[in-house]
Amino acid sequence: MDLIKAVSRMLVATPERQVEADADALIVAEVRAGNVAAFDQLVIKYRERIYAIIYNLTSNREDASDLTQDAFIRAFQSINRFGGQSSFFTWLYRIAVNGARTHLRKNRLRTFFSIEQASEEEKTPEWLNMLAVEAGAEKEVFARDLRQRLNESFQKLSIKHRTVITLFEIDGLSHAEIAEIMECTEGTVRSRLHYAKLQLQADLQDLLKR
Amino acid sequence: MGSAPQQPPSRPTLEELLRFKRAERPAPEFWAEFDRGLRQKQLAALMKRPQGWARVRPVFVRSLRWIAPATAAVAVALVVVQMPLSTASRKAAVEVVTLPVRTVPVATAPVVAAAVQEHQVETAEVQASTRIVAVAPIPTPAVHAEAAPLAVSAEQRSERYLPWSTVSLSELGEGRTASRDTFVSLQTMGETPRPRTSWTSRFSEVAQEITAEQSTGRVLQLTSYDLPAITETQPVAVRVASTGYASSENYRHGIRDRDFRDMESRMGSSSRSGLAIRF
Repeated sequence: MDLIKAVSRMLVATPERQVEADADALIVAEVRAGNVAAFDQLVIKYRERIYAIIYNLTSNREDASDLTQDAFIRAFQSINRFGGQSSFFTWLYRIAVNGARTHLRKNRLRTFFSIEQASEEEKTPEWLNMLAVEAGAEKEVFARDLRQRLNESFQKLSIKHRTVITLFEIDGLSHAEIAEIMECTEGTVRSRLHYAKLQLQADLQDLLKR
Repeated sequence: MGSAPQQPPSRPTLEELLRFKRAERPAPEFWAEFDRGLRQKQLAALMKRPQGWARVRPVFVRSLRWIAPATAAVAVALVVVQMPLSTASRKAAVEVVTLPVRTVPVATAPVVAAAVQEHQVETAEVQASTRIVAVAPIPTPAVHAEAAPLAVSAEQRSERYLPWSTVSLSELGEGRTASRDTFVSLQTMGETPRPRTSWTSRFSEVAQEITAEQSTGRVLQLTSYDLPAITETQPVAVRVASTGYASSENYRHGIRDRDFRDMESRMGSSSRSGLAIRF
């Protein structure tokens, strides 16, 4: 079964992903051989992506920071149990997503928004200026409110739907990769993605194109 | 040619909104703090000794290598040891059931009056495969005496025994010692013991119905069988050694035929058991 999964993964993986997976495998082998410092390369490589996923799942930057660190610690502690059936990044994503989901289940009733600032590299879209003018607010203030609104809409989704849309829209993973991380079928991923988008559209319809 | 209605350019799509959300990233200084925290956690994880299940797990996994085969070997050994034992116990049970009981011919068996009068209770010897538990008093047919309570050994209270046994009047007559095969209680039979008061009183009732003429051979001791009331007009079924049942005019008082058969089936005795009843 693992062999089938590995072969299918190789067939669907893009060349870039395959190169990335091979490079990760070398670093993992180094860490296993006792070169603990080599793990830092994996941390630097994946910390932003892992953080972004967890932040979009929790909508809280402090929780996201702690959970990201915990995910790396857990991966470091159990790196000897990493069998190589999946690529390292899938395995690490699975650890991170499962940790975040467990945290969300434990703290279901507690939601504190703690939003991040937008990256300065991003160009401000035109529609943001227009919406800010419509709302009669300053652009920065409106952008902050909009981020808050988007986080609230995300938190209204179920954990599974939120995870799927985060992995697909925020991190840009494929359906197959999401299915592997969430240990479900691609059909399930597509279905969850569809319903998550429908729900977001319904919740944000006053902002969206009609 | 009508032009297609144009959407106002100010409204974003959902994908654009999600792209806007994707732009939320922490400042570069955040990562310095993040790395420091991660380093501390990493060191703590390295220094921390495993606790609970994590500590026991490696030992458990290592011990599984020999626990499983050892358990299987012990189970097989137990089965091998138990098989001959259970076969032997079954054989012993069969032997016990088929123990012959000495019978005294009806015609030649004397009536022992002395045994009837004294109502003494004795305990017989213990045989290897049988257990002697009680000696019943010999009823006095002529005087209709009440049967004395049976002597029951301490062991008997916790063991199962045959609900009935036979006593030879002739053997009890002189010296009042019971022969080995006179009073037999078997531990392996299925009957559960009843309170002594019940079966002694029933025995007493039956014994009172037996006349002196009828008590020429052995006397049936009923220990746990609930006999119906016996009337003088009912025919009597007598089991003579291994010859089966016989109704006779000489045994007018006693147990009805169907009750006798019912009793025997409940006791599990067969026609080859050699048990005999005489009145």
